[in-house]
Amino acid sequence: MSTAALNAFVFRTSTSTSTDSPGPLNGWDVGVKLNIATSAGPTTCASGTLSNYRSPYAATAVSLLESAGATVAGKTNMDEFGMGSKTIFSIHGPTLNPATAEGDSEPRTAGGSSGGSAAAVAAGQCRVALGSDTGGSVRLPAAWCGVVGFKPTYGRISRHGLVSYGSSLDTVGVLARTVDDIRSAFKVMSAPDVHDMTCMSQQLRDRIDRLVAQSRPPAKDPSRPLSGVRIGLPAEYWVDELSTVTLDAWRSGAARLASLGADIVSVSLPHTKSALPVYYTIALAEASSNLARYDGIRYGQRSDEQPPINTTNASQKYANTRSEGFGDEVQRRILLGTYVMTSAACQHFYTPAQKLRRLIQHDFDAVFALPNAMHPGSSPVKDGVDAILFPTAIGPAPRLHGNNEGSRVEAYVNDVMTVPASLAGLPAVSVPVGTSPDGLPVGLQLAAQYGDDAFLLETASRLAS
Amino acid sequence: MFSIQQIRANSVLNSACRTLRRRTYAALAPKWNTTIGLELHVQLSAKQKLFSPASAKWDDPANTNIDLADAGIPGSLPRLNPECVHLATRAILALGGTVQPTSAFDRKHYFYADQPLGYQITQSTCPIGRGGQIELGSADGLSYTRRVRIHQLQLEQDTAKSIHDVYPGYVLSDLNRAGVALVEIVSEADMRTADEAAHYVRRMQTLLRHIGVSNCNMEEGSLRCDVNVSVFQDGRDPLSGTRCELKNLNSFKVIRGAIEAEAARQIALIESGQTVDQETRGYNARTQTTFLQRSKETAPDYRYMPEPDIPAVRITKEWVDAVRKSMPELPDQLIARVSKHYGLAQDEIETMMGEPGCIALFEHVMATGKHDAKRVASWFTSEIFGQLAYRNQTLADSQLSPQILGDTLDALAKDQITSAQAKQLLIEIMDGDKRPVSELIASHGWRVMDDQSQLRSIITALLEKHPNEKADYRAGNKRRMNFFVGKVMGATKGQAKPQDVSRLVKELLDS
Repeated sequence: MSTAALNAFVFRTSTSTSTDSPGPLNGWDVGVKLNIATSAGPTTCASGTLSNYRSPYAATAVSLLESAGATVAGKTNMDEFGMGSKTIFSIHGPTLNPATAEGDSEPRTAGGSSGGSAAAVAAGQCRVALGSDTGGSVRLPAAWCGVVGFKPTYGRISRHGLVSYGSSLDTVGVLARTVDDIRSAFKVMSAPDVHDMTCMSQQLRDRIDRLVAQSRPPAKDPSRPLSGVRIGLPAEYWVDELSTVTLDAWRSGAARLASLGADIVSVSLPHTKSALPVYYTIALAEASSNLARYDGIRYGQRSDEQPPINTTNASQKYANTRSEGFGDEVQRRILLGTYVMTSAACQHFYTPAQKLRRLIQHDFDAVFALPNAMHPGSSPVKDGVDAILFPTAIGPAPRLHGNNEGSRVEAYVNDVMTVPASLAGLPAVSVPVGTSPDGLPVGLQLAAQYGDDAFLLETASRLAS
Repeated sequence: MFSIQQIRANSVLNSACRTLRRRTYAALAPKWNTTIGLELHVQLSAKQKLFSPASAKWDDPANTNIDLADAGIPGSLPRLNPECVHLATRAILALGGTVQPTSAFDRKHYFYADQPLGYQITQSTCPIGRGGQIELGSADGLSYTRRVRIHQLQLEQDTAKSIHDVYPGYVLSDLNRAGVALVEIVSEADMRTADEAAHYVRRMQTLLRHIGVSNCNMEEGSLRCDVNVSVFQDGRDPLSGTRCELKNLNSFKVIRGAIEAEAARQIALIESGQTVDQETRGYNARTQTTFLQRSKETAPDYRYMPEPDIPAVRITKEWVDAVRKSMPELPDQLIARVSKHYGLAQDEIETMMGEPGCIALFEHVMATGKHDAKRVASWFTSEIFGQLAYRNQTLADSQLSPQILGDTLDALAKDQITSAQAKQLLIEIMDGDKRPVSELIASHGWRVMDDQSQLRSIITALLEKHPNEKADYRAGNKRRMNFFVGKVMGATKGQAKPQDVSRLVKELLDS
């Protein structure tokens, strides 16, 4: 497939990659998702409402990469405002997966919402790409396109310049063909930032480092680098919908880690079943709030339609502007999010969801050996695990247009593997572990305790190689 | 919204209210009581906005003080300005309330052109301050004491400014004010008269100005007042009435008028067998009536949500103690001390307290030598305040030095210069002349002419020169004396003391 046909980049910078910078990422070209602000090119968020919008500033993550020598190669396609898992809800058209199955007559989805970033990396159009991961938007397309996709701990990389979807879940994520490239880029971007109060302070980073140093002695035997490491397989992720190829990949991934010395144990995360409704309640509530600013007054598209002459307030103007600017999926999510926050519904949806989110977080604290640096009551768990291993998606990439008319709820079900780590703010990485018999990439996910990003990437590199 | 009948009924009711208030309110007063609670919105005098480093000077040229977050630019995030937390803490401590160890921000949603984010960042369930009180009493001219408890104090951001009617068909938006820090101070419904409410606002104004939290200027909108009013009869629970909220009462006169009009309206409604509906009302100062703005049914659902971009604010006891130590003496203590130490009247002290830093400067001037406190105080409130108003400056802007003021007042007290000359000196000093006072006086060649015989001969000469006026005076037109006083002052170039001149002119005219 031609690179243009993938529709991974919707804008490419004209400047060639400079090679005279002394930084650690000298000569790297980086794809940047359309919802991350760059001073060059559009930041449309794939939305009609921002179709002509240019950001007056660059995101912290982008500035850090650039000052380390990297060059922005262009802007990558996505689902509008990050809402979707196939990169089909975009004013720029869908992004296609570079991978195809034997005998495919039509393309496969790249996954989403960071589908442009995943496809660009998979097709070699850039060395690394930035994505955003609110509930799996980096990990899912990474798995389906056959690249590594990393969602850091919430707060590791500044969100300044990442256009908000669900603020308490949003993370800037990284996609690359190797874990090593991810580590190099992450190292540059993982820093405190005065522009984002939810970005980890240096103090917190130091505290996590001390906790890690106390609880995990370095491995001694180079031939068994994972000896002493415990990997959990969460029983609740063993769902009926898992495809055989995914199950096989999960088994062989566990076997590979065991062969490197890791102990493989079964763990239970009992509140996993609540994760999907909790995620959609909280993410959509926050989305309805975060997207309220798109009123067409200060920037963005404004409806030309004149409200009826008798309309004494501006609400009709807002309604016209927002109905024209937002796509169907975004409108659906705004309406749902608005509803769960109304005073009548809040106590039935939003408040219980917040409580359940805590229980989901506690589930993880109860299985990880490392205490959670954010939870003061958290203490080391005896016989706890260092990381958990589970699939990224229930199966390989579906066809782009297949099953499109199926239940919309079904589209949300794929998120069941990725949202729990998002709700708990944990680092998680999808690693390609092989292909299905017909040639489609399959990914496995590793997740670790809050702040344990370095160890997670270390383990991921063992799983990948 | 209204049928004709309703409007007619309302206007009948309103005119009934007016009559009632004029004629029979006093007669009803023993039977009915009013319950009043206030929500004050106070603009903090922080240099930067609550959640951005943009300047908080909202009256700069339109749309010049805007940071990414103030305009809701995609991807921008709020960052809490510690100075605002500090000022809010001061306000809480000054009111005798408790700074909450953990407080948090919430989003309050509504669409409006002056709301760039589509929501206001405020504090609802976990405000930064709770408790405290203001006690009204004899100092406020009351014959009793009234303790008004503070329910909570919360930090929140101001809206942008919408400008109507400049371009027909358009509403202009000035984002300079968007995101400027406010504290909302919510009282308990402890007040019973419009008078008490006005005194409460004035006391709050004095207190917050004094501790440098806000300039509390009602005309500029840096102090805005919403009032909740309900009525109850003797023997009933003061909170038993249905309350109506009166919005944007922005002068003392309006606060008093609106409360009285609203209480009378509610009493009239109940006495005519109707009920009071919970609603938001405005006040028309011209007709002295309140009018419906929004009924409970059409009240917006603000969909409050915890602000996910701002972590909970944790405040340590050590930090609170440090703020407490940095605070000036509170007004009540200050008035008591200054009045005892310098023998000044309370209203004199309060006038000086109205200008931040004035009492401190006054005390520094007093410390430069032997000064008459009353004279120094009146010099502050008349001459210095007059110059500040003329120059549109604050005392802090003027950078007046206690030594220079002390020397000027000393020269005046020792009759080395006249008061007209002292005023002239003040103007020169405030214009930036940095020379010592003695040098300034010397440069003008000023000295008080206190040689009485010289003065006498000048006056005698003038009387000779103006025989008609002299005759006129002696014929009974006593006002002619001023003519001669003016001539003498002119002849002496203002160097004679006016009291000497008056005395001698009279003496020589009458002789």
